[in-house]
Amino acid sequence: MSVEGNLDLFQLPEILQLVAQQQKTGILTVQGNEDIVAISFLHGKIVAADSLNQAVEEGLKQVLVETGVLSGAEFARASAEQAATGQRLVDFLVESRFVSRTRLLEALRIHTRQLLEKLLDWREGDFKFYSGEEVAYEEGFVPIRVDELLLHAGGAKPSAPAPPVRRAPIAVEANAPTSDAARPSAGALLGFPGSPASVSPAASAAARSSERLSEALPAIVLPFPGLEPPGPAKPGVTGTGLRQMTLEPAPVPRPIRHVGRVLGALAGCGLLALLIYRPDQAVFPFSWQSASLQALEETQRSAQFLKIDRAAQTFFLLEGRFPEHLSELRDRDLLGPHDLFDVEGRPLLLIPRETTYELHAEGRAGAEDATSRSISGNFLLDPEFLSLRPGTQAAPLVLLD
Amino acid sequence: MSRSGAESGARRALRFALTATWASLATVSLGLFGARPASAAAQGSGFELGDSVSRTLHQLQDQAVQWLVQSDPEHSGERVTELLETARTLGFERFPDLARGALFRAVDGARRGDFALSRQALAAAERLDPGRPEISFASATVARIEGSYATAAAKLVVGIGRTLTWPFERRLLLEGALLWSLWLLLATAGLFLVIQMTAKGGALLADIGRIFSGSGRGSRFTVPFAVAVLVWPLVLPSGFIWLLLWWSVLLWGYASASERTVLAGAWLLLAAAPPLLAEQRQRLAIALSPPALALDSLERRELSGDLFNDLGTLRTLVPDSFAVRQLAADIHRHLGQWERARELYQEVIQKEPGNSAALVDVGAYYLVRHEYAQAIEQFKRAGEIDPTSAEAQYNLSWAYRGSYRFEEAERADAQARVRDRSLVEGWVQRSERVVSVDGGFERIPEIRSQLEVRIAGPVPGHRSGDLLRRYGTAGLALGLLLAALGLDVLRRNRQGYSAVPLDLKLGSRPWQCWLRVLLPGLPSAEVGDGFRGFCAVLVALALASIPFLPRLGFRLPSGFGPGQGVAGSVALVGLVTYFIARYRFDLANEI
Repeated sequence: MSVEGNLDLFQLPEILQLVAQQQKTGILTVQGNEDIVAISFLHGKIVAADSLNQAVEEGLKQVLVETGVLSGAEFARASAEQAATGQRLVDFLVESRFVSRTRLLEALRIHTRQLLEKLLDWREGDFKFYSGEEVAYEEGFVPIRVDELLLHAGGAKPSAPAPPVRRAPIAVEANAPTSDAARPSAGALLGFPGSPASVSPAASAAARSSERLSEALPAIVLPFPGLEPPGPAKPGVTGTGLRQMTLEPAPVPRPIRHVGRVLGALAGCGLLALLIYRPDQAVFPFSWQSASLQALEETQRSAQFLKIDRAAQTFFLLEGRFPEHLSELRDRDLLGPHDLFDVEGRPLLLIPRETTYELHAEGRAGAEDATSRSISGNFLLDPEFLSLRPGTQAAPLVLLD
Repeated sequence: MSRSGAESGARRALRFALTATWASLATVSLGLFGARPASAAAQGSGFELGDSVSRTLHQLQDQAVQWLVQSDPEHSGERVTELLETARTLGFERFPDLARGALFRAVDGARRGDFALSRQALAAAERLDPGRPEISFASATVARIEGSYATAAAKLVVGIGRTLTWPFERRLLLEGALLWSLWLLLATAGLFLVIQMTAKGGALLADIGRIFSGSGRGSRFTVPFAVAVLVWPLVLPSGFIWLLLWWSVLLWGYASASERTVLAGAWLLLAAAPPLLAEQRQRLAIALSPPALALDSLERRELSGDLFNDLGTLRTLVPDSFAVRQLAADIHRHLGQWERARELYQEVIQKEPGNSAALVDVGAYYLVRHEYAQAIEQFKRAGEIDPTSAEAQYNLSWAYRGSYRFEEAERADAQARVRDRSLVEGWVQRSERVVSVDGGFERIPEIRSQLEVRIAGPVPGHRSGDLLRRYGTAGLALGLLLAALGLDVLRRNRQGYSAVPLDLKLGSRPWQCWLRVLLPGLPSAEVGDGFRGFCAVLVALALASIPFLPRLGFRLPSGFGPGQGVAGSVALVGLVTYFIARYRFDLANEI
């Protein structure tokens, strides 16, 4: 379930207060002209915030260096070592004893609040709130109350444009574990540490360009399973357009998933078999339509028997007899291979007699769908046709018109 | 066909002809001793044929036999000319049966390496029935046997073009296309649904299992229960289709807007197919009936072997039709059987006094017999009823001339020229003193309507059984839509469905990526693009079904068709191209 709108209608403080008042859990995304910020709420309190234009590393570095916890050189060394290990930066800083977890969480909280204070200056943009049952956040993070944030921000400030796009590519850690991988996190939405994949070069290139951020968004969000690429809506998502996002899908238990696929595959095989062996049933599939199906097959049979009859009569004209088998007509190209089978796929049998022949499907002699044809009445083939009555002294024909 | 076979066949036909000749001679000698019947008739046709016509048909038989047994290409052309001239005396211009016989000989000759005979036979076929599609297909076969593959391909193309313009074949082709289209769309919808289940069945099963186990932990019966909920329709009659429909309703809640549109479209199609096909069956039942085939032959001036037999059937089927009587009168007139024609025309006039065409034709009868007073009366009546009739005025002028009333003749002639100068000048140039009107031929569409009522019966749909057959699926489609909307309400209220959308992706292992390429519709199902998914399945199924088209439509009655090899090749090339394009332009990034 999602709520969306733009900042012309609702100011951010109002939106934040609304979420806090209703004690919602979920993610609020705010998209300005040049940046996107995602705020994670847990029961109405802020537990994480991430920006597309400022990676968490940069924010942490800024806070840790400003507060004197780490020097710039120390942070750079830690960052380089962390890159080699593949760990998340926050975990590496704590495990390598660069900083205690408490101090790091404080720094993260300060960075989050600073990011939100900047966000409160935005006067233009769109927002969308995705309600959920859980969100991911750094364990031990002290939630920021909305009223605390608003008080700290110190009232209204002059409106400012959304911050400029960060020129450098977004650095992302891969395979970083989160407290709950199944939960969606704001970082995952925007590709920050803790997210399950990296930003594609296409996204970075697009972000570096002067194009609108919204144009870069599809490329940025594509690698993330929690974000929907531009296109048709998915289940659980309302609205359309580039800003569509959804919560990261929950995994389906493997056995159930396999059972679903096996059912689909079995049904597919069954359907294909039906289409091959009884194709007409695709148009009249129900039992109450059996009469219509028979009528359709009867019409198809009429067309087929007309073709066979013409071929048999041509054979008679040339050979003076009907063929012994239908295959004789096929061998002379008067029939095609398909014509040797009836509409239900049964082989057809031709039983020739002197001046007639019988045609029926195998095992259907004397059935309703069997037919018998004769040369009787055909002036080219029937010797009896032109037997004249006594006393014929006919005058020659005169063509008058 | 072997030469000996051809000759033995021809001999047999000749024997028939000789038998008939003997019979005619016998009847002539018998006639010396007995009274001559009013109308001699060909036996068994159901259509009265006088002695003159019978003799002409007999002559045609002889000429056909002579043409079939001779093997000299130089004389073949002459024989065909004689055949056609004789046919023209009866008012016909085409010989479809003999043309097919010629094609038979052409292909047979090519197989024996006698390409001169083949070419002569093909040329004869083209003269006997110009423009017939089978001639092009047989030419393609001969060219293929000869090793001229480019010519064969060109002839095939010509044959397909001719098929599209040949009325009966075109009608069957279009009706077949309608049936195939419906089949294709419904089959595609079925496969689309199966793919939806393959992609989203896990999520559906998970939700059903969760409902079963409540909010607590799952039990070992959860999966069997969920499967049972999914497949229970299989116990119903026509269980498989009910299974697919049940799935379509259940999957509605997991479908995107485009996928829902496709599902609703499939239900609508299921509802529309029965009435559409019922109408089609009615149309084809008439088109394939011998009387309708005879009408087709008449319109094209074809003298087929069964023509008179089928015309007899037509008169038997609609005995009260005055349109049929007028047509029969026209045919008798063309055959030179004026007396029988007049009787029929007068029956028509008695019932339809305002039938100016019949009046002109009765007047023409009197004019031929030099009974000018009666002719003038008929033409004047026709002119009063239809003041635009140039035929009535032109014939009237000749009737006046026969009565030495030259001034009135001049006036009538001038009136005729006022009506249609070019037509009158054409008659004058051809020295036609008596012109008639094919009013019966013009009523062939009316006769077809009468046949429709007679063959197809009253419009079905009034009995409860008919209603169920025709509109049962429409009610079903409505029910499905309501059920799906109900589930949508549940979805909106988050009842029974996972709050968080479930992961539907297949995975990214190489075989899974290839599966996306090889299973059209699967990647689209994963991202919820219904239209794209449906089209992907549609194209693949359409190409794969090409070799089965004869079974999925109505067989064209022409032999020497393009052959299975062509259909198979088109399907194979199309499918390979499609999957290469699918990989190259669509899914390469996923491999």
